[in-house]
Amino acid sequence: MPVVKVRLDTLARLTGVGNIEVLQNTLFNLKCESEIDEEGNIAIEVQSDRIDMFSAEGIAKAVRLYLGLDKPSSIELRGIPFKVIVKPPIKRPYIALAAVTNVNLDEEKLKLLIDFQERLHTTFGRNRRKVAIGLHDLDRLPSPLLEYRDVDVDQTCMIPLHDFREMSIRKVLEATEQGVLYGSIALNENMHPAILSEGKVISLPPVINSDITRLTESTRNILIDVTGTDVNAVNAVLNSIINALAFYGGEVLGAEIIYPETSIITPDLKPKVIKVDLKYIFEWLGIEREQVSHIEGALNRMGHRIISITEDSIEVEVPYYRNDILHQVDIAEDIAMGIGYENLGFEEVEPRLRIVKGLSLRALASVIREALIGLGYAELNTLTLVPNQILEELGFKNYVMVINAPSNEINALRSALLQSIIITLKNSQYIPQPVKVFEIGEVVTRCSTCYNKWKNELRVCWAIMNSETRFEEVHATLYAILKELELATMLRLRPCDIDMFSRGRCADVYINDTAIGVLGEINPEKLVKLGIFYPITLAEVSINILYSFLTGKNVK
Amino acid sequence: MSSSEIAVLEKLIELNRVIEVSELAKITGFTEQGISSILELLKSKGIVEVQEHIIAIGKATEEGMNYLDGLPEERVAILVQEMGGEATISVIKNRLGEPIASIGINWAIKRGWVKVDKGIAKFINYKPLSDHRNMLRMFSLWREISHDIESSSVFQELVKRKLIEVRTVKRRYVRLSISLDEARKIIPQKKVVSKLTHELLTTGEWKSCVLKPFNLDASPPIAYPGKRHFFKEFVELIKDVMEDLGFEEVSDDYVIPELWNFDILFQAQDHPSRDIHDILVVEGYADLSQYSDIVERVRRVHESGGSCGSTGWRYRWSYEKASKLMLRSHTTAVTARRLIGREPPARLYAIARVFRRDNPDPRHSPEFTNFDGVIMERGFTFKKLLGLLSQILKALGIEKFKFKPAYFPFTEPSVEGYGYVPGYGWVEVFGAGMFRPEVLEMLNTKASVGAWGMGVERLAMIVYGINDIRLLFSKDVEFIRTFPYIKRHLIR
Repeated sequence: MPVVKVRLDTLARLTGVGNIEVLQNTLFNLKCESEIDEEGNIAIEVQSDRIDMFSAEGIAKAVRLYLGLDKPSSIELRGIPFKVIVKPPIKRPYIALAAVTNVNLDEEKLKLLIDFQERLHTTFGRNRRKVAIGLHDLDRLPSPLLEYRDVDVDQTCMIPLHDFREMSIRKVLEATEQGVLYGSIALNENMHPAILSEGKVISLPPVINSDITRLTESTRNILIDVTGTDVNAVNAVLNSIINALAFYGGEVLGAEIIYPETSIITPDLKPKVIKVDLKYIFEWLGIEREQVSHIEGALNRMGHRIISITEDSIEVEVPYYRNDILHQVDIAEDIAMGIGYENLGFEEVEPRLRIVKGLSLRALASVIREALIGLGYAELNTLTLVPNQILEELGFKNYVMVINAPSNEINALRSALLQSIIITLKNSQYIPQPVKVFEIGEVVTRCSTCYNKWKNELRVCWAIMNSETRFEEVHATLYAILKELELATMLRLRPCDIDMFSRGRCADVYINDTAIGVLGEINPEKLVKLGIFYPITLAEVSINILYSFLTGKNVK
Repeated sequence: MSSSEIAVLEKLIELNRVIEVSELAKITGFTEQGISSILELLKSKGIVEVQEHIIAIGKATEEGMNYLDGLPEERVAILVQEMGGEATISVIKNRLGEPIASIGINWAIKRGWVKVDKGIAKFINYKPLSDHRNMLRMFSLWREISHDIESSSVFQELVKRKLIEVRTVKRRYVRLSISLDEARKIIPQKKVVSKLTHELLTTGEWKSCVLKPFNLDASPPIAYPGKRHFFKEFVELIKDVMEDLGFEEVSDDYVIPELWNFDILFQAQDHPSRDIHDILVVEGYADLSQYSDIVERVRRVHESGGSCGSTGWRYRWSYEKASKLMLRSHTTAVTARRLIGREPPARLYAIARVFRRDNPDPRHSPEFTNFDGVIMERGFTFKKLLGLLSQILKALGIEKFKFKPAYFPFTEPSVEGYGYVPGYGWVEVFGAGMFRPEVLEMLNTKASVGAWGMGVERLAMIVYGINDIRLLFSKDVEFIRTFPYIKRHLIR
């Protein structure tokens, strides 16, 4: 989640709240966890849906509203001096533009603003792919008449930010750090989007701005361009920036964006009006009708205004910078937050009697578990993720490979429990013997008839590692478990031919004619190859199959 | 002859071999001093002989024990290799600390594993010193040094490096100097026996026997009880709590389409948490043809909000993306899916493994256990959800808790529950909320749904006082079978 870091005294000044406890409590109630470090900074973890709170100013505004220090208000455009003629670039068709006056940057404000821009880029902007922002010194803009279009990278030049040389766009893409990082996002063969003013490139979205309009610590008025692939996201980002900059009290200027077919005005600062069904709110939150009087206050604390109210519904004006209201349920949450979760109260649910019909898988597993513990086995808790190298060495073929595993140690899912058990025993060779272990856990096997190709299966595996083979003991354990399940008389062992086991020293395990698992001694060749120097005898049985056998039902 | 002389003599007859005096003392339950004077008496009667030998014994030093997982030069070689084959000395010192770094560098050079030039160590090759480590492990307790070991170069090197300490001890051995038959004749009628047997009882012979006293000072052989894994016990505890509240356990496969993991929960298809840097991906696509009506609802809701009054995400929803196979990253994918087609009321929970693209470290595991639940009832409210969460917290032994507003793409309102653990502080226990109307429409449910989810390992670690998540999945059986059972009862 994004973290906004700001000096505590700056935040106190912006919010007008000096009491740290009040400040942190308010942040907590606005979904933000905060931490104060020894150098006097406060790090505030903001939620990814509230992009208006990605800036210190946006946070300050939300805090002031929550504490009632400000009332919800709207702002209006003081003019539309800019025109942007758009020939939509193929890979980045949308733009929004606005300016805010009298911001009067200084060193700290500039830093907060750049941090805010970067936060929007990396999260909501999907590393500039979806949305990118350019910030300019308005007073250095050559002309209020702008163009947004693809330009030829070889025939167009610009001075990239923090440079003084004019170079071709191709050079900018190849030679600057931002060019290397973001140059491929919007490049379409030899064309790249650019914003021009009086024929000069002032921005090369989403890569870099021109040095002509560079922001400095003495910039007073700021021009903002936002470009991207999603028109709603572009407008939302512009509004969140205006919300932060307008905090300093300046005026907002708009632009006419002229697309080939249509033209629109940005920014759109009109509040969104949403009709909220009161019955819905009461039923969703569990608050009483008597609490309706608290609703207006709660909404105001969250920045909303009620514009009309009837017996059944209210009309709520949502401020222009709130991009996260998709449905009246989002207003419900704001009401709950405005009231404060701690003031809502709890209503406990009644425990409900559950009628359990027949044997459950959990109960079956628990019988097996108890038997194994009684016989002196220690229970394991291993990862399903295993290195595929071991599966290959043991001769397994059909198993899930993870395409993007972070390491070869965890690049496959086990297809048999004994794989995890053998890995564990390999790591436990230097402890007092015998080592008697078991696990009940899930494995994933190929399923050609399943819609998702792979299915889980619950199994049990027990094993003994000792200085000499313990076949009888493993066999006796199988018999003991089946006796607990009243299945022992149906046990049949048939010779098996599995590479992993020694020839003549393994068996397929059957209950009547149903195969339920295997039992055997690991082949010495495999043991030595795996670096294990003590004999291992083990058995693995499918609990899913036992369950079906006992109940006649399949495991869901 | 005294009864103690008889007891010792009987033992010697029973053993019928040369035995070390201290071992004999242990077996018979006498002190070494006591046995020496008894043997002196037997010797004066010409019954036993005592001989002295000097032998060498060894034990790994404290430093040696610290290297069981890797000698300094191994750590250095691995580190340099991991850093791409080159590392400055100061980085090595920073990472490994002194004196490990210095010792390690010297030995790694000596072994020809790295070469150091102008303060930069360059990797050449590396061969694990498993013989060294096995030797150290072998000497974790004092033991005799056999001739083979003494002449091995690994042993000599470890001694030279002061990783194994060698001492000599004097050992005295005793044996009968008369024949067994002669010895037996010396023993008087009343037999001293060490074990009461079924035979002695049935024959009545026990009446003419003296039972040898137990040696209460000898340490017993180590026994390991069959044992439940402590983490699985914690999982069982949670299951009991949920079943008492009337919840039914549900499950699903690990390999599922993104549809269940994300789309059905209204996570936008370009949401960063769907990035392949965060989830684990499996080759191929699911066949969603049997879910066509669900797929259609999902498409409508994502693109335009469906008929629930939402704006939706206002984008083009991709069927292909929803069909992609992945390892589920949370079990809400399970509980939510299992609500499809159910009539209210329903109380479901899942507690099972989930997968994320994390490298294992003390705080992260690529696979861990998620505990999730949903409750669908007519008239179920957010206030009831807070009540239910407080009931679960209390049942888990957390008396003090608080709720914080939060954000999850699939719930509104959303809440995080914090519990207070004495001696630890506030811990984030779970995330929860009411399923959004968009989610309800996709699931086609007929009542509101409260949901929550939490990672189980993190809470278990606090409860059991474990600070490395990897220990919960330990491959060391000794750690598991010696984990004190009593800690389990500190829960609740």
